[in-house]
Amino acid sequence: MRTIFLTACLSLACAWPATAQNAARQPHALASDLPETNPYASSADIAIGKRLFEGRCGHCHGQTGEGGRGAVLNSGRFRHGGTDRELFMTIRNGIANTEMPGAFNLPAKEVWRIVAHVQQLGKQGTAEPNPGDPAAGAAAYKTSGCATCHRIDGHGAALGPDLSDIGSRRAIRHLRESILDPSADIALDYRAVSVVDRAGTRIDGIHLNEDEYSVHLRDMAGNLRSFMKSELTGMTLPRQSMMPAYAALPAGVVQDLVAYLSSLRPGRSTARAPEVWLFDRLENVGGHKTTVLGQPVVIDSSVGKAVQFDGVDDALDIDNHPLAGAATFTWEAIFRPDGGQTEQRWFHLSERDPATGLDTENRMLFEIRVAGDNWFLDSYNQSGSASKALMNRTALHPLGQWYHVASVYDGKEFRNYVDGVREGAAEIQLAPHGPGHTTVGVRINRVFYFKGAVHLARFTRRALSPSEFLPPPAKP
Amino acid sequence: MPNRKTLLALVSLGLTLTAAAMAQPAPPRGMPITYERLLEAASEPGNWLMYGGDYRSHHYSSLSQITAANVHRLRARWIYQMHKQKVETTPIVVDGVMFVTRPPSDVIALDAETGRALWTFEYRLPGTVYVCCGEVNRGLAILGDTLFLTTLDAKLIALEARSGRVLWKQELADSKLNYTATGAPLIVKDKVIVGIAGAEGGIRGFLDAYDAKTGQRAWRFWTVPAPGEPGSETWGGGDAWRHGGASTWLTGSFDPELNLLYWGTGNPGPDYNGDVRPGDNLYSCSLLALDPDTGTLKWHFQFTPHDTRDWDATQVPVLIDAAVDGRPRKLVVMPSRNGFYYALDRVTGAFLFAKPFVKVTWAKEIDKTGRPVVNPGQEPTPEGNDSIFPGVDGGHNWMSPSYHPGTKLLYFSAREERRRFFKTDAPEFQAGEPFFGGGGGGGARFRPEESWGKLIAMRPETGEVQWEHRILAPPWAGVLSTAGNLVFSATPSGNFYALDARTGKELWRFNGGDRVFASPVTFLSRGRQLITIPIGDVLIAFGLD
Repeated sequence: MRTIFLTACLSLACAWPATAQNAARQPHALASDLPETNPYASSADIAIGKRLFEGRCGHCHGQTGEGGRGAVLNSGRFRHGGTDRELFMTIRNGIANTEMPGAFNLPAKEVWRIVAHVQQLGKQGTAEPNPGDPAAGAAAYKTSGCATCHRIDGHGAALGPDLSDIGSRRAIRHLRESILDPSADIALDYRAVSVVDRAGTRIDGIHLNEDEYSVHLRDMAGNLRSFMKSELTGMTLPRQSMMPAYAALPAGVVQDLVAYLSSLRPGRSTARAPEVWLFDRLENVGGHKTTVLGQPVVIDSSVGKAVQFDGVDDALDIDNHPLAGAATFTWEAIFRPDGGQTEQRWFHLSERDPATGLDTENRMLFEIRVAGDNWFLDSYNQSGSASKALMNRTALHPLGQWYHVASVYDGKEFRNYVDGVREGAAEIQLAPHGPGHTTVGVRINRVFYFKGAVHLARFTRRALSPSEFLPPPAKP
Repeated sequence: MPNRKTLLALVSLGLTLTAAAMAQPAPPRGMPITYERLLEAASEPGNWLMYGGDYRSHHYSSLSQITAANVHRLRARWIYQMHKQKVETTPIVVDGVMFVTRPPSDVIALDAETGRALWTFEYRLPGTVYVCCGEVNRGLAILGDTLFLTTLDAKLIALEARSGRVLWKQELADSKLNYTATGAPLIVKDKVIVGIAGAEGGIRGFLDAYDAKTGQRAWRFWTVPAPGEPGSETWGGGDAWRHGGASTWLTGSFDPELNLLYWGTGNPGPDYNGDVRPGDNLYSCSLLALDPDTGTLKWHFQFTPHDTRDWDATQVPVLIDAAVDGRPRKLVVMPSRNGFYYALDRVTGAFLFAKPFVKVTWAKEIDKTGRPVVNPGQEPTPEGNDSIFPGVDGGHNWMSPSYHPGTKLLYFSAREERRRFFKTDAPEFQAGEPFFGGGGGGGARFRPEESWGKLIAMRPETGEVQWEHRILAPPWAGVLSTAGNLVFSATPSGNFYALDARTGKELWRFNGGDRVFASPVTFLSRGRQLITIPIGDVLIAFGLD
């Protein structure tokens, strides 16, 4: 079993002074006791605040606020509020259930001076570029098996840290380090422990608690386990993370993964992250198992790898309905029609009846009609008794080129697009589909085969504007 | 809150229980606790009459009902709930009545047999008091039938031991200027010796003596000399002395034959930025030997000159008579927060030797004069220096050591801790605000196992470690040793444990479930030996089943 941990950091790294008689909890600051604006914001205060920051804050947030184990502070976005008063509260009181401690033993004046400096850092804008493609990163997240251990929005395993809002908690450089060298900084709550019982059985897991006589862990199957040390023949706390280092990943893929993880922030809509399917292999698409029909082949093309279908009997049946449960959606695909029969149902998302295992009538389709050397798009959507086909017979496009197509539903209106240009729209009430499966290259019932190639599909659980679409492929 | 009738019932219950205790085979002598009885405190093992157990601060008991052979039968007998954080109290026990303090500055008289309260003195703080390190109190002193309490707002209060009634109240210093008091006073003759805390708030430290009857101040020794006074030349000539710290927040020891009072002093202020106070900063981080009648300084020894790492010398000075290099000596020994164990001649203050007992990087050694040979690169830095050992809380701290006259070993808790020291601008003094100039917290990537703890059994006359008992994390618990050849202490995990005093073999343990910031004591209740220790926010008493 692969054990993958995207580490976060830390130790109980209270940066605030432990003192002569050791620290204890102090009363929290109340917003109502504070002025709205910073009374210590002169250039002299900022300079003092900078020095305070460097000693107390920089080792987590980076000396210039570039982030690390601590949140990025130079982007101007503050998760817990960016007003002077809000920053004061965050610094003074800390943030519950995070590694951010409260600065109880700091005079109010000094807290204000740190606030003044942090406000200056925020004006710099993000210093670290983030050039990766989040969509491609999402696909790489799936294909790399990250969800074997990590969880995002309730999907995946809980062995490693939950990554649902990792983008707001970790800087880009820290995310990159966590992928390439996970052992560099291991989250205290996700440290590995390995024990050997008297029978010689080794049990690995996540270290939960320990005292002089006992140790407690969550084993690799997720079970809570308790051991008396006297009953063990060995116990180790490996310095290595349980997550393997992904140093061998191509730099571009790491960049994409980092971009994707960095995009995981609270309030990034209630929707899940976009699901991206890359058609760069046959046996697995978007992390889902496929059934291969006929002999489709993986090709290299001007847009990258793609799966090519012969229009006779080639197709993929993918064990997933990527828009099941979506009340709104944007379904994009990059494909190349190469001619063939007039009617081709080349991308079909179908709901299944869980009781019978049979396809229901609820479905979403990309179809084309071939007209001479041209084609036009037919987008179809059905949910219960509501159904709609969007087809503009006059919007003709030459065959043999790569296109971006999109179906969008915003809860009221169903629209379709070719290369970002709207071709049809209709008001309709569509209920979300249940789970099901998908065919590419053919209709779900194996008719109307497709001749051409498919490079990529992206499924977003909200209505995107055309400016948010993937860029259309370049035309010759 | 109990009504008057309930209180009367509780008081009469207490009297009944006291009477029952008095019916035991060895009749207790009851109050008053005279100075002569304090001088012989070690001969009254059924009681615990002062913070350190006796004037030598041996924190040892000659009780031997609980032994290595039967300690496995030790069971929790009662629990007294404090509902307050950081209970650091060391109780006073007099003939079946236990007097304990509860944060911030309350006193409770408990029936030692049942753990039921006989009376409660609740002290209301007048307002906010700046304290660096929690609203703690470490205990009481008793003389006659009067208890002496220091309060968080820097008062000394005399209470009638039978009722908790206030007899007198004296201000030590102005708490609005960050003076506070947390330590147990020490009685010497007719005086109450009281220390002060607040170096993290920019105070100027002192040690006071008050008349036990009237509360009038008898003397004051300023631990930071004013300009022109001896030692003032060690402060750089500026105004730093006004907020120079050197507080005296832990109880000292006393040698009646030499008529010398031994008291440790804390860090200079600001803690981590020493730029404003160039020099050794006397008498910070020092052991003082004073005439208890006049407060005159007889000698001093400074462990950490010009400290910038908060390494107070507020550890318990332990008075031991032993031969060093074949010559009988009256010793005062102290495992210092700076990581070295020191033995001094307590008559003259002469330095005899020092040895590290934890990982030490800041000094190569202590030279023949007692001065550290300092290593470079061991100062707090603006960006944080994580290469300094021991950590900010030191190799040892305020928790009580214990000396066992039978094994002739000194037992104490030691802290192997990795911390990160950083320095900021020197602060301006401000009432109600801290005065650090830096800090000493954890590092971003420290692993928990880089810090750990141990109980050391040491031959005090040589500094040779006889055995060590390793525990998971650096402890805050003191040590009790007994004539039953047992050593008791506790771990930060809340495990209260007993070791064989000779071998260090663990014999018994109890999981109290929370951190321990206190030292165990033992005494008799109805003729049976009990042991108590605060764990978390409760006080637990243990006895044989």
